[in-house]
Amino acid sequence: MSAGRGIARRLLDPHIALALRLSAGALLIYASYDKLLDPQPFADAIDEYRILPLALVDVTAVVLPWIELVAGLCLITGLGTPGAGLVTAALAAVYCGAIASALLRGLEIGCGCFAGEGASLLAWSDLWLRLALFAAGAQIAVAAPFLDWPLAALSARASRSRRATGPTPGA
Amino acid sequence: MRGRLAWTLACAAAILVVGGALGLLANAVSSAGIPLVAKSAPPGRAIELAEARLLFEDGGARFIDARPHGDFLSGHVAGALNVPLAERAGELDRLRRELPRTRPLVVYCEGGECASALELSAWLVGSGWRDVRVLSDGYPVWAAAGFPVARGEEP
Repeated sequence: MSAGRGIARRLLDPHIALALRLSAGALLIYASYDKLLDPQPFADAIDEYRILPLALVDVTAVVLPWIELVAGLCLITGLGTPGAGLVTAALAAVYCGAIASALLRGLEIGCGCFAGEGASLLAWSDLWLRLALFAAGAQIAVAAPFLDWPLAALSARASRSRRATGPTPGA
Repeated sequence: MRGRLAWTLACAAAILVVGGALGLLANAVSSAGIPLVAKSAPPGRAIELAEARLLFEDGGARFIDARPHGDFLSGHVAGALNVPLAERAGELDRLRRELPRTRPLVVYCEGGECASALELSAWLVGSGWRDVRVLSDGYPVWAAAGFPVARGEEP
């Protein structure tokens, strides 16, 4: 019981939370980059999972990388971080489900997750990173403030400088 | 607590809406954009040798040989997949594994009066592949033009 509390306290430590947030944000932005520049290979990769009907494959390939990018930017800048954490956890859960389903059906396909994967086939080891991303997203959704470093620090500095200069004459 | 949950859900919804809108907008203006509405080519849309060669060189299309296996072994378009018309139903699982339904396919047979490429292309469209074309001249004209061919099984 106390060990569990200790782990929970450690996960809520602001430094660990910051590291998780920045890592998850960087990973999402990296994952989105090549997909949003050229959605066709990503559409092919989605179709190979044989989960979505064809009518939804292309729109998913177009929209998903941009959602990853926006969520990643929110995590990096500290804007609306719990919402970005929730989106991150949801995306990671979807990826885990798709990967596990493909492996259980014996599909020999690529992951379609990052650029430069080459011809490597999907493997159970591909799940670990998504599980870690899910955990990070859940932690951020539960514990992070809505405005976090660095945006929170910039905002505080701006209001301090406004107070220091005082009210403008005639205002 | 309830306020935090509501704000979290609102932020998540905003990220989904903004990301989705940016994705649709970028896809509409980008030269790499893809069609969002399925644009199936009519089954059996005939293409000429020159267009088939362009699709071959581009590397984006996969060639499907609709002839019997023996004909395929004695010569076929390099890299082609053999799907004899009579055995197509048993090949569906393999095709779905190997060919994304978004990928253009070029089906061919012996050309001339041969109908197996037309029938196979209609079956492929019916099975979900959206861009299926038929090389109307068939394999003999492709080979006679000196375009890349192979013999035996494909690796």
